[in-house]
Amino acid sequence: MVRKYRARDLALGILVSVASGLILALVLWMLGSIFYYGSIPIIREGLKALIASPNTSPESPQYGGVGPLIYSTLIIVGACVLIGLPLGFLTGLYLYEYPTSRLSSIARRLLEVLVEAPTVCYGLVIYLTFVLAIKEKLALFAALSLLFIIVPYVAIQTCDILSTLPPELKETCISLGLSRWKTLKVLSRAAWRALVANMMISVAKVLGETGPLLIVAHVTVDIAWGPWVYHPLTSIEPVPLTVFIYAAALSALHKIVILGWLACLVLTGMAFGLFIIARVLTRTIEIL
Amino acid sequence: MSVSKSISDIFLAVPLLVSLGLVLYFLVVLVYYSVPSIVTGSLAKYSATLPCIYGSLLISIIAVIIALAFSIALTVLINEYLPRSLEAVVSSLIDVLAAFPTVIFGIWGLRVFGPLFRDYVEWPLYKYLGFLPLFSYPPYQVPSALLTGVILGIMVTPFATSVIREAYRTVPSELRETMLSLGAGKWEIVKVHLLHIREAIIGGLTLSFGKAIGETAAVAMLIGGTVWFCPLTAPCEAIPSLIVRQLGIAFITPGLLSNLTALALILFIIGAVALLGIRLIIRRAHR
Repeated sequence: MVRKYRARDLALGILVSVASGLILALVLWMLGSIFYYGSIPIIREGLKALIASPNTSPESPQYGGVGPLIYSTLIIVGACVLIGLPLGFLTGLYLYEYPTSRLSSIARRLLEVLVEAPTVCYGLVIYLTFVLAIKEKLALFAALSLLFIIVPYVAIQTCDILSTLPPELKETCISLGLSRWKTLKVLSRAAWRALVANMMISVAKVLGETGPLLIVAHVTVDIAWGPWVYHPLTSIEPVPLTVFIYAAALSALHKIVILGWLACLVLTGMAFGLFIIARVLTRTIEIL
Repeated sequence: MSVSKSISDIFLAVPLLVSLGLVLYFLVVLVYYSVPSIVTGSLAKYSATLPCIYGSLLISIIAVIIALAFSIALTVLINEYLPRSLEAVVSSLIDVLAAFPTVIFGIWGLRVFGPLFRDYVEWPLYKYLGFLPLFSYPPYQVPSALLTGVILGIMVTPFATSVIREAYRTVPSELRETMLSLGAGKWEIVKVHLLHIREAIIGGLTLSFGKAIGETAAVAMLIGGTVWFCPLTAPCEAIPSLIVRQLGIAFITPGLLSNLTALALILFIIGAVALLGIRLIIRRAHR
């Protein structure tokens, strides 16, 4: 009897270690691939690889760089964040402040549905209404399609974070005769670490999002610095890092694939930076 | 006082109404553009409808199976075997996986993992199990339904793991103590624990299913883009990748735009039903 138990326990131990070891090895393998391939252009051409535009000519041995892609990403994500963060945060405040009103219960349910919707649908909706209307894929539309991701996420998380504060805090504010705005200000300040951390995570989510952009942005590896940099949102040139990675991975030109890995390295660096800030701010918040 | 109160109320309501408008705009556009295709029956006649729904379900189910194996193994490893000091290392590695943008899974799967996977997994499967319809297609090229499912499984593992791990931790410690005093081995303890949290396991898997079926970039890169009822080792097509590939020619092909929107609506409904399912399960578990 005892022997049978031991054999089973041993089998369990082996099974669990092998499966866990496998997935952890895969994570390390991915990280290794990104650093190994991504550093090739930097080693060959120095920091120019972060500034120059991709060299798509098959004859030239030069890699070029991912400069315009970083710029496009910052502009598109920046525009989305600039509108989306305040909108989501204020919506979350309303959801928290009036939890029993019919409006906020409907809004909350709809926002929850939108949070988990397939992201390709967001791109499709923007494509149908904006891109088809003016027959141009402006970078502004890409930023708009990302709004669907950031607003519901930030709104729901803001409401949930504020709900974890002790109710006595709110009661004290109200009994002191503070106005609704002042009360919300005090509460937000009490939870600022979690709120800011959550915003960092939402920015990272938008930064890594590809689905809608494959529809509303130009999927190409052909991008160069040009006059569009002065009015990026209203031009059709910008190609975000994520879209470039998609196009580069499918490219037949080896050096473009390598540039795709450099884009991966830059993108991972940005996303990890945001996650690390969130982690430092609060050690209890979930990354999901 | 009452004036300032109502003003602050209005100010707070404006962002909410804007967000609500965003949601309604999304739903209305999606439904409005799909209606023609559904009403006229053009969706039912469209040759890609059923194969793509099949493809989407196929790769998501593979992903869920992979995520189930990995997330339970990780949960048991962290809670039963690892010392506290190593726990942080393992869980931050899993968090790293959750932090990768999904398109990186695509390039890695296509350029690094895929070729090896084809040579050392798919070819042997075809060679020795090729008499089964599932593996009957010779895997000449890297993209395939099986590869897509496996990569999606790796991608959603951290999400399933976090749900299952949290639930495993909440199992009362008396259960373990009682079992230990009765002379139970690790196998029995783990079995009883996992049975105890089966709702959380189903919830975690539903969450992974929703994430996997909605993924676009990695799927579009890895699945190959052939519309048919594919075996596992063959290139296939799913709804999100079909939309990405076909939308470019949709405005010159009559009816295609509406068909694609209707397919997106179907995808959205599958995801929403999965979300509803999680909520019901959680509510039941709370009772």
